[in-house]
Amino acid sequence: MSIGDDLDWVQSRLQDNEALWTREELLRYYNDGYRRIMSESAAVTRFTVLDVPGRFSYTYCYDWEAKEVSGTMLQVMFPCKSGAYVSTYLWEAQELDGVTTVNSQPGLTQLWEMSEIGSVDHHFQFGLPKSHDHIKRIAYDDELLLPVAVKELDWSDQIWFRAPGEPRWWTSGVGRNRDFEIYEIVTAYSQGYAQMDSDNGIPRQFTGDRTYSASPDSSVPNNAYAYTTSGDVDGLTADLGGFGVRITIQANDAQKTFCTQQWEADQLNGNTLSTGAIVGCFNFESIYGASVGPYAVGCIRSIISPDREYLPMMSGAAPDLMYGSIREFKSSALSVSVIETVIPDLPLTEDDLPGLIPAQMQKYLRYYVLATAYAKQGEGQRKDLAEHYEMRFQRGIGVLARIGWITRMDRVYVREEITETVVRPPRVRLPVHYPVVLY
Amino acid sequence: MNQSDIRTRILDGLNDSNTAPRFWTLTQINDIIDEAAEVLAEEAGAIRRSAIFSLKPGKQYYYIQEIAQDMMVPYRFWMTNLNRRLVAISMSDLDQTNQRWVDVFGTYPEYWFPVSWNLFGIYPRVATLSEAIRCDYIAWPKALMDDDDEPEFNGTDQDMLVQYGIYDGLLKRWDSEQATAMLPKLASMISRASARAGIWRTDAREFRVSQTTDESYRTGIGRR
Repeated sequence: MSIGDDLDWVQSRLQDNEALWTREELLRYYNDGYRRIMSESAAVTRFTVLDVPGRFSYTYCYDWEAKEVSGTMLQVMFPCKSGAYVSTYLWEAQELDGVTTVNSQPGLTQLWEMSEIGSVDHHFQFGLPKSHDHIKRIAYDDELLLPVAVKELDWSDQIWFRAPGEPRWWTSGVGRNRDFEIYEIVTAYSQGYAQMDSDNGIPRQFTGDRTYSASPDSSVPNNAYAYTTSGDVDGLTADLGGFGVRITIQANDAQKTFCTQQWEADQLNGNTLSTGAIVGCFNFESIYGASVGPYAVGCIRSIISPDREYLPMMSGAAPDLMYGSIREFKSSALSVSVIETVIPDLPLTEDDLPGLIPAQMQKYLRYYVLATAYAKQGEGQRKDLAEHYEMRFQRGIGVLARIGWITRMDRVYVREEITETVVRPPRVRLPVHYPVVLY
Repeated sequence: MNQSDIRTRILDGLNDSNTAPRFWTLTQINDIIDEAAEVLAEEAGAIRRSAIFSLKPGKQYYYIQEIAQDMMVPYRFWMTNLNRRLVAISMSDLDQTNQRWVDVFGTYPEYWFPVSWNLFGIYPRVATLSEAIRCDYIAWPKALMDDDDEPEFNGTDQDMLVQYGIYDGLLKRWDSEQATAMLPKLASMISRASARAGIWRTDAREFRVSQTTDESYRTGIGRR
């Protein structure tokens, strides 16, 4: 049931066809309710992994610049002279104020530059995405970091924010909203994965220190046609539809010869000759000993390893969040990983689904829209109905919160502590008809 | 009661026609019945299902949708080969025992813990085993398919679906006064449904005669 369907339902309850409440207005209410139920239930949790040192989408000099960009942002300059100036170095601020200058740490434009220049006068900050609501757990290199207040770190009377060492603590820090800091800091650069040419579409292959291989699902269709040289491509694809496969191997000789057998390419490349094999054009030829396909085409649907887990995280707004391509790869090794509760990434449209919560929770979003619409001052105001639907929406928050904490269903009962008490054992009490024997 | 029976009772309660209601479409009433079933399932946890899934080497976290599409909350994980139940704990518990618990691999998992409404983890994860685990869970009710389809709830609890339908119908008519007046009754029915799905089902009591001296049976027959 799309949001558009939900709004149809709401309009039928309001008995209004945009005379009092416009469709855009109801959609705004819906988005508000979606955000509120996710935030107040704290039931939607997501892993966010951040490179070390922290990377920000943008850095800026003046606060007004933040309005022009989206994503995480960091002010890398030091505002001084009542904000009229910003300085790259601390000594510049001293100079502007007319005091004796002292040497400063290097300036930078992005925190990752610390991997090159080492210590700076900036705090070691990390930015969380706009969908962040609150932090549940932070780890560095998969090891838990404990929370601490800035004040406690300040009491150490040290420049704690640039103390190198093994990270043990995290603090909300002194940065913008949604930023946090870690203590101690690691400035060696670490990035688990780099997505090359990500502007050009979905990933086509993995490379790295580990061994990667791709295996297609049995549902992947086989090739529609086969060809032998790159020259065939233009001619064939003009006439033939579907997925084509070149069955030859291109040698490294001057003519870039296409070879049918691997040993032919070996011969041209000057390598030890391989053993010949049956070469086929289509998958069905495997019954004759040929090895052709199936081929791994399309989007990646799962990544598995016996040594580590590749866990997909859903985000965004779409008709179905479980489908689509991978937009970002991260690794928790030598990185900061945050478990955070989130709110919606984007405003939903009528074609979307509120896919970050169970589909059965949509009815509570409808109630929220009704509660807000009925509460609106004007001709359609019905305070009694507004209160009623708000009450039902609150019940929905409670339900989602319960579902979010699923181990409530499997409680571990703890025996009460036994306290030593010295009391006289009770006297034996016999029935009044003792020693009567009953038969 | 099947869908048709429930719908008829709702429309009777709203004083509308059973076959051609003026204020509703039959589909709208059917949707209300499904919504009522969802509410009852959320509160009472009355619909239980089981599913089998396999542990994957290296995998620590599992989405509930991987195991069953209709899962609301899992409440029991049973390792079928070992006859062992995984103990439910939290990430905080794990943090207190080992700050690098994420790196731990074991022969078999012993614990499970929640992460999000749709994601849970097991501890320790396994490197090689492909163990089948039975997951018992509370499920969302399926939408009724046609007029002959009957909700899974106990017969008594199906009355709640009727009352909810009437309540929702009153709200659609903007009759909040009568709808609000129905709330205590609905809450009582949900409580009883919750008890029927939980404590009343599992509480196998031992009935015995009171041991108070010289107390007679309620029937008036005196103790020998």
